[in-house]
Amino acid sequence: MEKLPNKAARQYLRRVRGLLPCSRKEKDRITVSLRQSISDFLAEQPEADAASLRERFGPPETIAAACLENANVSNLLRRLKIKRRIVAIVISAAVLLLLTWGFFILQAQIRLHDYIYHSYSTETIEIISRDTSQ
Amino acid sequence: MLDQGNAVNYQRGVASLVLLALLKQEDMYGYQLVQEMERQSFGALSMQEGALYPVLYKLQDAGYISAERVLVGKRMTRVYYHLEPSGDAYLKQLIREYKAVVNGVLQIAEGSEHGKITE
Repeated sequence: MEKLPNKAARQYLRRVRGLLPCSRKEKDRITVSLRQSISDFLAEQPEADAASLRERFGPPETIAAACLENANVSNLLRRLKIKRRIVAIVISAAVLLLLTWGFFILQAQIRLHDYIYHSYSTETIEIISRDTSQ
Repeated sequence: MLDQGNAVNYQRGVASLVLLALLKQEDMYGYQLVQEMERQSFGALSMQEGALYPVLYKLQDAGYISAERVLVGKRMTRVYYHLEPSGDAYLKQLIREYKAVVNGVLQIAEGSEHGKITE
């Protein structure tokens, strides 16, 4: 697909696509239609800026709101449920990772402590034993 | 003068009805629908073109309207929307429902038969 010749138009379209709260298929449909309309608009007004695009096509937020209002409710709820599950899994995995890392750090600290305070004392006892036997 | 915030809220509920009613008059493309909506409502209804697409796709998926790409000039194409027979039947249903709702609202708001919209 040919790139839109106007930078403001490309940014506008990118913003709209980023905000659309619908399935990928729906996003593609809406952005293709919008892209065509923007292209036709730019044919008449090649120097159109962000403000004129918003005036003609609406703020990206308005388009996103229209998408939400006309969405199939059960599909929307299903997608929200899936997203919540993914977030819960990621958070659980992060907490588990943190706890595991904390456990290993603690283990390492304990071993280091043992090495510093107990290994030196064992050495001293051996020398005393040898002197007594003579 | 209409309060824009309220107008937007009211419009949300009637977007499908208005678009179908316009397409009943003739096949139209996106920007034309926007212009006619504003013109025929004397400015009471206005919608920007971007917000039309989700509504139009919903109507298209339901089979109420169809879309046809038409070449305009040498390079420009326009998508014209056409009202299908099932869309016409749905429009009649929407108009009935809309009248019932408006009558109900006016009944509560004005507390009388004054302003009842007749069939």
